[in-house]
Amino acid sequence: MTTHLEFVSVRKSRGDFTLTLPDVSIKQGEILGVIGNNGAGKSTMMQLVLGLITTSEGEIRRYHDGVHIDEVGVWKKEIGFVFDDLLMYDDMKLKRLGKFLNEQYNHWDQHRYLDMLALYNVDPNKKIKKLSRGMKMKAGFAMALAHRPKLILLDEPTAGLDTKSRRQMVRLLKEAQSEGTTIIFSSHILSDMEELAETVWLMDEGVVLAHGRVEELKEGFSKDENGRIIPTEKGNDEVISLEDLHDYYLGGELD
Amino acid sequence: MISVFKLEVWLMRSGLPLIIIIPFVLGFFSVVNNTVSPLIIVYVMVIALIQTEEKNRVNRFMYSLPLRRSEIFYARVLSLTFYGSLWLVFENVARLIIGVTIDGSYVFYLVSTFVMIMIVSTLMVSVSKTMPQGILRWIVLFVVFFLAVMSMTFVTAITSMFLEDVVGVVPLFISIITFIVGVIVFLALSIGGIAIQKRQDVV
Repeated sequence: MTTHLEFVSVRKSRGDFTLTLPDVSIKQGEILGVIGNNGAGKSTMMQLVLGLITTSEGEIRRYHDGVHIDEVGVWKKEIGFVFDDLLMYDDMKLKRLGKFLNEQYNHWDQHRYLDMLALYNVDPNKKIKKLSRGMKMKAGFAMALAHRPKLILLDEPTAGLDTKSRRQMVRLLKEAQSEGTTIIFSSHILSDMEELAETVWLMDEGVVLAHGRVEELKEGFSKDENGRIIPTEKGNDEVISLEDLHDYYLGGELD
Repeated sequence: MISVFKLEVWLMRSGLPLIIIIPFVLGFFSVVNNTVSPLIIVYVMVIALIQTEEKNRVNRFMYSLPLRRSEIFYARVLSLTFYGSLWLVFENVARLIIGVTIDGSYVFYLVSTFVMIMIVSTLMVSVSKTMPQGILRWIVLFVVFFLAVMSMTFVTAITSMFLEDVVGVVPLFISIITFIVGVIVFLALSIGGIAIQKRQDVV
């Protein structure tokens, strides 16, 4: 698998907050789940990848089919993104927004976009201001996938979605991955993460406390007689969930 | 850039009839060259666009799209210049209908007003895109607008009056030079504005 993204000594400082990322590379077709409480730096990481903010130190190397891309604008043509809310001019209809996006992305497929809106029962003739939060998320998801991106960034994509819609989203993401799409997503819903993520980052207060393949991370823990998760030698047979890892590294209840 | 320009024009679509009708009506009654009205339109439009942008919090979405920051910058400058120029065009179409004399001075007035629209638009976009949200930005926008309009109208008025006194009419080459200087100032301001904006975080 070719490298899609490479983080090299990345630090980002904003006021009192500093985000420090590990020197890792993300492979083409990999699904990375980012877990962390509010303020952990998940959204900042996404913004760095999207080029919305610049690094204070280090760099993020972006690749397309193994070739290093300098121009973020060019690279963005291959990215689909979903934020925790669809914030666009609220007087705009979804169909019109689709036409606008058609002019931005080379591979925009208006039919695919409208089909996905139909799948989610979202009326393309509705103005954004008339949509509920869940509907906005679904529309945002349709936009992220309509141009068959090579990389999808999802920041809390399941926020506000009902169970059925979440299941559909997970299925569509799996399909996208099978076509070689790299996916980076953050979510508080660890069952979705458990189903999708191959590798995870556990973040807290701007630091990645643990990262690696989910199975390898789980292998390093077992449970004591009280059911608490404790570090142990690798290769044990204990069934550890991502929620257990979350509790160990980040503690307490989920936000 | 054209798609973003079309989006900006669409955003202000409700104001377009007024930008066409009011200057057209005014043009029938105005006897003096009117430089300031189209510039005020530019100011009003930039305020309206900024407020729409802030109300809808669209920056994160827009800057996540595969658009260069310079494209977003120039699209806004172009849309503001478009609004200001529409005013200028319809006001002067009406004046031509009632039989205003077209001479070198009139051409100079048209060219210098267009150049001022272009420069004021660039200055307004530069300030609005490089300063953080808040009261200070509104104050700076107003001060920059006021100083730019005052200084440019002063220079063009003095030039026009001086040449009319000496030559009788403003020669055509002065209009050409004014246009060339205007384009150079526009490019310098926009390159500077984009350079500052590129280093800034969007969210």
